[in-house]
Amino acid sequence: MASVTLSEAEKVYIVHGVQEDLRVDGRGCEDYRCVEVETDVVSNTSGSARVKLGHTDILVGVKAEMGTPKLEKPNEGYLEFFVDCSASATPEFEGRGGDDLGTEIANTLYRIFNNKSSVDLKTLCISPREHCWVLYVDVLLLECGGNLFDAISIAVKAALFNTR
Amino acid sequence: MAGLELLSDQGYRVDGRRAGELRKIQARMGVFAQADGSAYIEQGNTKALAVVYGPHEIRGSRARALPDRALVNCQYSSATFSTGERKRRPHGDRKSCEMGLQLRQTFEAAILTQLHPRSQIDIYVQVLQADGGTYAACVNAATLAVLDAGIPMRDFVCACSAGFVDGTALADLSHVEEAAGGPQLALALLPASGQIALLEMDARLHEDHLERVLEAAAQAARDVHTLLDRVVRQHVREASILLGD
Repeated sequence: MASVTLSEAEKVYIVHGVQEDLRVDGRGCEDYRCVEVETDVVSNTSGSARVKLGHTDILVGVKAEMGTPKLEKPNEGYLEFFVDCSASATPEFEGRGGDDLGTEIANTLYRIFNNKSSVDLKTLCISPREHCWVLYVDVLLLECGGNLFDAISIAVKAALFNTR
Repeated sequence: MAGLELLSDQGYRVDGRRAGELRKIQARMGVFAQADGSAYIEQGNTKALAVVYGPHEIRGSRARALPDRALVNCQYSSATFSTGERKRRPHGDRKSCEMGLQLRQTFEAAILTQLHPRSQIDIYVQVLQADGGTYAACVNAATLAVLDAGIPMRDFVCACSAGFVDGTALADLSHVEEAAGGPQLALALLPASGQIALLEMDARLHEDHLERVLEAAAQAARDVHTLLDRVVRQHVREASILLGD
């Protein structure tokens, strides 16, 4: 089962360990788990990436489509994020259960990629006010093993890098 | 359709296969450590992932518990980037609900539900890339996942799609062949006894041809069974090596 219930004694044990800079799986307080990044996994997308961070597994697909620029930014294309927490991560995500977490992560992604230094949106423009590229970034949460934001941001970055 | 021949004069299909030939199948069991059972299958360009949780206590209302057998709960979800055109909603739309129901019917016929009364078995299937034959890929992946979870089944459930073009029955249709609009049939079979778990067709086909198309689908399902059997044995062999037996 994906959900783990801890007893009080276990919680005290974990807290004491952290105070001594030793976590449950032997890492120090600032150590990362091993990250595996794989790109170009889904063939009918413009770019894709898969990231495995311990037990967390994220799959991102980027599809590029033509669209019209937004009215307040006629010279730029834009990105649309959609996060799908699939039920395979944990049974609580079945049906609409994963929607709350999905929208929260999607909103965070919008804020992250909103500034000029992350993605140059001007290159996505084809003709001002008429045509531009819209990049639909779809994030699929396959397995949830903690630290979702890091893994998702790495995966989105890798998928955008892989986009032709 | 002008210009696109589904079956050439020499008997070759659009992707170079013969009429009864399956696409290349690769499968892996035990992809996720947190789930009770999981499996991943690739049938040509169609990629499906199945995850099984269970048997566990009924979530939600206790009133749904069946006193003599387990409740099988299936959800079918296809990723938004799975098809050529981007899909808006991964699950909750009619096609996904219908597929979920069909998967549930299929697996209620195969899983020995009497062994786990008042409990629930969840089967979640995710289609990562859809290139025709999604129902078949989902059933095959779910079979492997249920086996990986250790839930007892009557037999493997092997599925394959079949169509009918120019008087010949084609097995394992790809997206191009499905989109051409001819009659197509999806069959889920329990190979050892030859019993049919689910047969679905929503097109018009003359009854004289039904026998041939059914036989083509059944033969293809038996071929799939040979492959899945090999995958399971390989997985068990690897697991026992790791355990040191």
